[in-house]
Amino acid sequence: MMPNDLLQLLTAAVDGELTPAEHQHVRRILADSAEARKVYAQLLADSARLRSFPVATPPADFRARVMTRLPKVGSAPTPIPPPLSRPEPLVRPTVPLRPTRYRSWVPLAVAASLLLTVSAGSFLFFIRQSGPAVTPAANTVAQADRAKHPRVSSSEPSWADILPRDNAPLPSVPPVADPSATAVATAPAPSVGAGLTDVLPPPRPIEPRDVLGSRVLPPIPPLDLVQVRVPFLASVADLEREDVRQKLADELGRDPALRIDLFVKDLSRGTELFQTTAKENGVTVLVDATAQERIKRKQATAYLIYSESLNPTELRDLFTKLAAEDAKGAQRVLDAIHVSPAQAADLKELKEVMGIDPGLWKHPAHTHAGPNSTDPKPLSAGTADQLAKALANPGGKPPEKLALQMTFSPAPLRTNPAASKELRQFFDRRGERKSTAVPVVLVVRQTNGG
Amino acid sequence: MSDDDRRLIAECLGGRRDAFGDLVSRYQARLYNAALRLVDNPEDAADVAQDAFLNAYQSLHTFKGDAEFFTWLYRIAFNTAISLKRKKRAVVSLDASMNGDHGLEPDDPSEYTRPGVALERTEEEGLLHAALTRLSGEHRDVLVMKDIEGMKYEEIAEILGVPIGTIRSRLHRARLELRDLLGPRDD
Repeated sequence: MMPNDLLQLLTAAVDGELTPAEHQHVRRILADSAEARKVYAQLLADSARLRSFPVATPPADFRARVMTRLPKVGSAPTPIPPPLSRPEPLVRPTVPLRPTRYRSWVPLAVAASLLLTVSAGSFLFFIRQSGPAVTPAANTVAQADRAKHPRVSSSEPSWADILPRDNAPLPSVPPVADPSATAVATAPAPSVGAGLTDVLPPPRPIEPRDVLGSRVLPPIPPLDLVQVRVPFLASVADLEREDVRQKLADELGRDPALRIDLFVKDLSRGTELFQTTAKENGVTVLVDATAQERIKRKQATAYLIYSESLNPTELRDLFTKLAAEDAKGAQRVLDAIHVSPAQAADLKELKEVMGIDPGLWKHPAHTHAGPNSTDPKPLSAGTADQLAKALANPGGKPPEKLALQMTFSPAPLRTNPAASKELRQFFDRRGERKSTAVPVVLVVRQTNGG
Repeated sequence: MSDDDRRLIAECLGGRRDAFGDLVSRYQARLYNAALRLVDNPEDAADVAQDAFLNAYQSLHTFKGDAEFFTWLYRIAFNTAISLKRKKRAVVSLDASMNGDHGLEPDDPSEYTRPGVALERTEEEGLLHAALTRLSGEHRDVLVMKDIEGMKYEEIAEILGVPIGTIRSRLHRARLELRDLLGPRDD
């Protein structure tokens, strides 16, 4: 049995956290003691096993989820960040700013100032309106009067020019304007003595920060748009509409692999309809014998159809044709179609049903350079491929479009992959995947209450 | 701290939210993985990682920059995970007492302790998972930080708020406990 302090040295050695002296000590111990070497090797192996733990992938929309939630929790505080050239440390403000509180009363202040402005304007407006109409004659008299008694001091406030001078009671009806009058009553220009400007304080500059004492609002950063992807979901009957078909085509071309759920009201009729339509579209559906038996006996609740031979356009045409065929019947069998990008869980299910990963996300080999490719192309480039193709397909026939149908649920009714002849045929015949083809995990399932 | 992190943080504090999005993209996988080892449940791990990012965003101005950004982020996630586990433990204890179950069910209610899920894993991964799950929380945390996250004693000590010596001895005990749980190897 090794002493505890020695064991602790060994674990620290595994952690790579020894001082030079400890390191020397451990080396001597390992050289002398077989037991220490064994323990050290075991601890190292355990550590390596932990380090090789499989890396899990966060949900595909993780970033979008975080960014979507950001506005709900308010903006990040925006103190001036330290300059990039200064390495350490970032300066923490001694008194943290409270932008949320600051912003919370700004709208109230703006509203109050607006209300105040409107009230003052209304007051002045009605004061003017309620005064007696000033006729040209009265205006002339007033001007003469002012000429006799020019204002030279500030004792006469400017309000005198605004408020009515007449002390007579206000008329109960508005005065009738004289249609012959051409001159308009105007307020006299203020006649301030020259020396007065020296006495009076200069006009107070109006700045935005003076509005109820608030600070200047910080510039509003540009709004971020977070695009949240919504899976395609439509009634199969709606595929007769061009816009829905276009949306489906767009969705089918967006991802390297797809999971499609086709909801049907009658599973047996739905799968048979799919098989028939696929055949008419040139797709050979290899149906697992046990699954075929279950279709007849109506035992299963969902079937999985896997294909990697069709491109997005062909897939769209297949489902469009399926909708058209379904419409011919007395009663529609197909209910809804749901398309989403294939996830890790789909691959897991696919592996369980087919026994191995058929290469859901495998990138097909590129056989041709793009039209804009500037890579030098050796003389032999593509020749080997063409030769291999010619040997594999001497008749020059187009590659076979295949699909495989297996029982999906309930899980206990699934066929053992090793026992499925059709599954083996699928792998034997599928050939090289076309670069434009999209692997599809199609699950045909019974609708609830169907 | 890397220059990229420093620049992104500065831009974020300057009001460019996309910069924070870039930080999320940069660290989401690592943080999610770390959270997964702490809470042992994919849904909870995603929640913990999301909450950690949101808390980090709100507290970004308090980040002093004298440590790695991920270490700071990890500390937030760690605290979030701890509080989540405490909440769950309280609920499970209450449920157990109401149902009259006492000690028959595993303490950890996470998905990975369910038999069906465990069977889906590879044997090696399953063994490791089982061992990690059975480790005491204290030991498990330091092992995850050291071996899976590759942190130094100093960083672990800062996150857990304990002296480096404590980390050293705790890791020592954790390694021995893990060794006992994994049992002898044939190879």
